[in-house]
Amino acid sequence: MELVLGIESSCDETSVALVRGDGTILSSVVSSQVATHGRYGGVVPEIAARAHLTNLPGLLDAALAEGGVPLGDVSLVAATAGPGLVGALLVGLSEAKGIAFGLGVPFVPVHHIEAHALSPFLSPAGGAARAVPERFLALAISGGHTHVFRYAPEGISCLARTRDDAAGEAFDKVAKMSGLGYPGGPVVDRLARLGRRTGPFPVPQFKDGSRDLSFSGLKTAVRERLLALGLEPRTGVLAARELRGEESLPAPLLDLLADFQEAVVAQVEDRLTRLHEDGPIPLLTVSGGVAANGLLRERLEAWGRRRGVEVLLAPRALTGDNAAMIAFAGLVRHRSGAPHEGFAAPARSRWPLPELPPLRGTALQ
Amino acid sequence: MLASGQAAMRVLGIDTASPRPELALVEASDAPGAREAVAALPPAAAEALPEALSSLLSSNGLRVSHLARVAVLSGPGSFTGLRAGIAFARGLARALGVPLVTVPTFEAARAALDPGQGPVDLFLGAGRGEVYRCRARPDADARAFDRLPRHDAAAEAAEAGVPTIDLAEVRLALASAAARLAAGGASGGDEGPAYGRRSAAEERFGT
Repeated sequence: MELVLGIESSCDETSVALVRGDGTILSSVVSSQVATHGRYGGVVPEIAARAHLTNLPGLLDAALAEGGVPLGDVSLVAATAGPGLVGALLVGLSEAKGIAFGLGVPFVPVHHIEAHALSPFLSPAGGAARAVPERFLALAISGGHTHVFRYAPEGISCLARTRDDAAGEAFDKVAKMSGLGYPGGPVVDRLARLGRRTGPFPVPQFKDGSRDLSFSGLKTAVRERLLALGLEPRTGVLAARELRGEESLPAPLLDLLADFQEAVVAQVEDRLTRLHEDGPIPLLTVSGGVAANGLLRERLEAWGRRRGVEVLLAPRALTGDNAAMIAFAGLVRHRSGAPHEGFAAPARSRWPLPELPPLRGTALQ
Repeated sequence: MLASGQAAMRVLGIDTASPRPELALVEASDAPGAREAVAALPPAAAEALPEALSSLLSSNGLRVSHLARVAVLSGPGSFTGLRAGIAFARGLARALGVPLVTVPTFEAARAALDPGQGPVDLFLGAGRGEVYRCRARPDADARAFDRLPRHDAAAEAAEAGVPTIDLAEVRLALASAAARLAAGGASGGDEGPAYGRRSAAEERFGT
């Protein structure tokens, strides 16, 4: 059976994984640089690239040891080629190409967002992956993306996208304003459950009837409500000592977080409902960092049951950047026979997903 | 052209970090004048590496499995180029199960100089008006270098009465030199890149 080695280095996580030809994850190891970049208030590309180069060999050793297979058994190598930080991408991409060249096996460049979009087909429990159907919609929702893509044999298209901030960015900014540090997703998810919804924020609509999303107005509304509550919004990089102690948070702040989280989820539901009315959604995958959010998961599963749409949520462990999804996407692309650049693939900072050729008859049956 | 006989060992040299990136295949032997084949790489050297290596191997009647060692420049040089070269070389060596040898840029440059060349200060552009400099001291470690403003480096060389060579202006065949050093028994594969400069963010924040 095929054995796929995947490498991810597009931003601030370095990851190496081994996935079998049936989509079973044998190993997936991730090294995060969150602590390294925290002091700069964002990911510093040069520091990220250096850390990827330092971290990769150890991660490769760990992935092979955990997978219990020798490198020589690898029959396909896949690595993220974009979109992402070019200097960071080039590290994983180059190492992956070197390995594939040395082993004499094919190399598949992988689109990072496609890998997220396909990750819900992977089994969380270590079993084989589900077959990838010809038609499905993919909600990719993270700190960098809030997009709905349509996969069809005719091609990949973008049905909706955020016109300003990504949903994950809104979580991060709201957490920062609230003095809760970075990243914002997990802490807001946890604290919002302690609050009660008291004052709903409106779901924004575009006059042109577009299904696009927007989160910048929500961010401003949260800021205004913080001020109204007498809670000065925080700015800049927070030192650990400035973080608000979770045990002493005022109830109105918890309520505000509950209202904020509800507004994000309600907007996503609204757009999915309208897209479903435009044309029945055959199957929906939900992936990316915000797909780890508990409320979003509960509500989209319920939404799917109500609407008769099968909703596949990315396994929680695979919502962040990881190489298992890269290996799997490489495998799916390889099986589909769709053309790609192989060893000549450059690292791309910008790479619209609809530029990829459609997947045809990919099913991992 | 290299002979494709089974006996001789071939060493691949990779330079994606200097102003004149190249790949070199060296037929390793103790005899002087071992044959070699060189291919220039385009400026986007990292992306061109696999195909350039593929055609260099095939035009010499070789397969990747004929490589017995992989040598790569460890710096200083272009940050991105260094990383791409080291990552590719490391992956290649690991997959082939052969040693990886990292060779400091200036060590390769000294080895590449004409044997008749007298003392010379070597410069490599470091950006922001600075150069990495390897001074002409016969007794000094060939890999030792410092970073200083270009005009200061030039003035110090003039004061010492030593000529200078800028690696951007003179082709020194660094990939071949690195491969020959590796073939001659040089070892060392764990040395991370010698960037010669911290990241701009670290310099600004003083961390």
